[in-house]
Amino acid sequence: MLKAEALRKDYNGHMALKGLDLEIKPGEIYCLLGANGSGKSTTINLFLDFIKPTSGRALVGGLDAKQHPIETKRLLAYIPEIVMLYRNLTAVENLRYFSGLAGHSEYSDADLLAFLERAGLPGHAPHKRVGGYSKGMRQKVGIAIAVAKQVKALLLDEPTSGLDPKASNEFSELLVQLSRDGVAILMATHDLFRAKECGTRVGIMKHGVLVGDLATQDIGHADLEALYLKHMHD
Amino acid sequence: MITQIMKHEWRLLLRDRLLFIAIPVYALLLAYGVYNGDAWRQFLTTNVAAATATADDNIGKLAEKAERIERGEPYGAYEDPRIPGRFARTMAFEMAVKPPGPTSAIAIGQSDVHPSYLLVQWRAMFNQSNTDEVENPVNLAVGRFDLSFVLIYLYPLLIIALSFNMLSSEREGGTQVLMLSQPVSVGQFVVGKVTVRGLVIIGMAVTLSLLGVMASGAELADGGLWRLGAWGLAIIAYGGFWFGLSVLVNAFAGKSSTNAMVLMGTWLVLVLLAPAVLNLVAKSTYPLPSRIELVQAARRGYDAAKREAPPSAQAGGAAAELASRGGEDVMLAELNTAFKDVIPLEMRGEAAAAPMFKRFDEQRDRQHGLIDRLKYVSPAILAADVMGELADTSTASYRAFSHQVGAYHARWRDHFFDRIMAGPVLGAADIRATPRFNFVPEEDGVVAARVVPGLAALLGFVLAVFAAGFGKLRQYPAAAR
Repeated sequence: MLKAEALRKDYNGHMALKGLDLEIKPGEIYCLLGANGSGKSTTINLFLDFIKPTSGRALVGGLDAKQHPIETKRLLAYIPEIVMLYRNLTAVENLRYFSGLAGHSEYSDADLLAFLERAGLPGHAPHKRVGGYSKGMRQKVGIAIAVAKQVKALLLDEPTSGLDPKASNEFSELLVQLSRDGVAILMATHDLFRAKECGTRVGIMKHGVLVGDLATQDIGHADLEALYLKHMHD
Repeated sequence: MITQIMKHEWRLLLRDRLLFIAIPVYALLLAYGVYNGDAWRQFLTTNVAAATATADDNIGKLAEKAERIERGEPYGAYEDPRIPGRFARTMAFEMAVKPPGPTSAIAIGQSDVHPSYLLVQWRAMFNQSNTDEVENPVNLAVGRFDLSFVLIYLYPLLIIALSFNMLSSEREGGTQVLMLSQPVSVGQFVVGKVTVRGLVIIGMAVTLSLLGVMASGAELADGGLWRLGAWGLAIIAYGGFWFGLSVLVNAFAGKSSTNAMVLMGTWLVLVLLAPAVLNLVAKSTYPLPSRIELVQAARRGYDAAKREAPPSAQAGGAAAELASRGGEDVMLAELNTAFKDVIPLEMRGEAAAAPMFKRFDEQRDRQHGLIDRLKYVSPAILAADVMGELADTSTASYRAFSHQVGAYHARWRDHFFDRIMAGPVLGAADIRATPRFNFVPEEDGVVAARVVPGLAALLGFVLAVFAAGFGKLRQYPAAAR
């Protein structure tokens, strides 16, 4: 579903991504680990066509994101590290707008409320303007927006960084549910625990190179941490 | 898709306090501009009517006086209007008037500095009123608060205020990433954003000004309809230019503050500086002869004429004495002889001064010509020019009026010259048959020929900024690095 082929990105001489090859199949949750600046966000931005690759291809459902930006964006949803919404609109209004853009203008208010509830937004919040929301609440609206889009691939850039452990756990469960529905998920994260918990595979990136790629079932929590630290120290 | 973006943008605008402050103020300014333009139009209409009435009244009274004299009523020598030289030179006059055009309420324009009526009698026209200098229509429009002032100056400011951050605010507010992760291009978002803002701001400008002008009694049948149509198009094009510029500036993905500065700077240059510079260029390229030179040339001409004057030319001063000594017939004959001598002399004096005045006119025409060619540097000048033309208050329209007055003045002289030289006195019927001035409005085709290039250029500007803006948007960076 998501495939990087010899994907390179050069920012004015700084090679942020040095020929990434990666494939994420439907139902997989791939967790990208790595220090800041290791190329995780660059990878996600290339799939989103937010930046253009220097060479190589980022494919979504077999389509090159650079060549077919609109078609590929129909297939994927994105949750950034900090979800920012239209502060003068309510959660329902924000969700309705983004769903409409994604081609789901058929949702009723009840549908929209159900998505927000499923994302864990407290019952009193949906009709309040999001200007007063905490980061965690905004993040949940972001999740609802992504889920409501009903996509084949999900890109997440450190989505749990602002969530409390309970919300983070609920979020993981949601991801697992989505993967069971056949969604391919690529999540950049610093949370080794979360990666081991919900990920089917983990990749470790360093200086734009994927230095480790393994199935989570093959490794324990402690081993994953040890492996990660080993790569970081090399 | 674009409808959804428009609905969303409209909702955001409604939730933003700026709209609730800006829109009523804007509506008020537009309404006040229309009100002022209409008041000015009424003022002109009243003035024109009063001027015509003064001339009518004067000629009527002079004819009545001649009738009384013909009936044998006693009269003073200086009151006799029947002497052609005296009648045509001093006693009678015509008020050549330019009534306000059908849509004059939309732009006061040059009607602020050019008189809408000119007094015509024997004296050379250049001694009367046409030594005014060229002024830029944009500068002059500031003088009075009319609709074109609101549209040329304030309307772009409101457009800038509501659109300078249409993309940068999404970027700075962090909503851009979610927005651009949807299957919608940046261009589509911009179209939606611009359309909503355009419908509000341009829509209000067009609707309010057209309603206002129609309420002020524009005569639609009399060439008013196409003028209002072209006026609407000019408002749309001029507003479109500022929106297009805002799209272009936003496409560079700078900060909101940078966008605001760039747009305000452009406003300053195009709306305030360009007209002033253009004016200065025209004035320094084709300087007008000094007013003192003009006055001196006229004075030298008359002095020369006076020195050559035969004694009979002075006889008018002794008319009473002549009348008492030789009776009425002698006096009339003497006075006529005096005018017969004086008038050709005066005309020679004028001819001596004429080259200087001709040079003045030529230089002024060159200034106009230069401004007319250089007006294409700024959409603001183009818009002001088009609006002035449509309101019939442009420099060109006043020049056309001035030519008509000049032709009428020549007719006045031709009409009376033979009578003065031949000597017979005028009868009351002759006085009533004095040729009168009839203002002929310019043909619609003539005005349209001046409007079309400006309007076309304005539309060209719109296309250029939008094409550049949307071209630049193709490389719009979604993620900062």
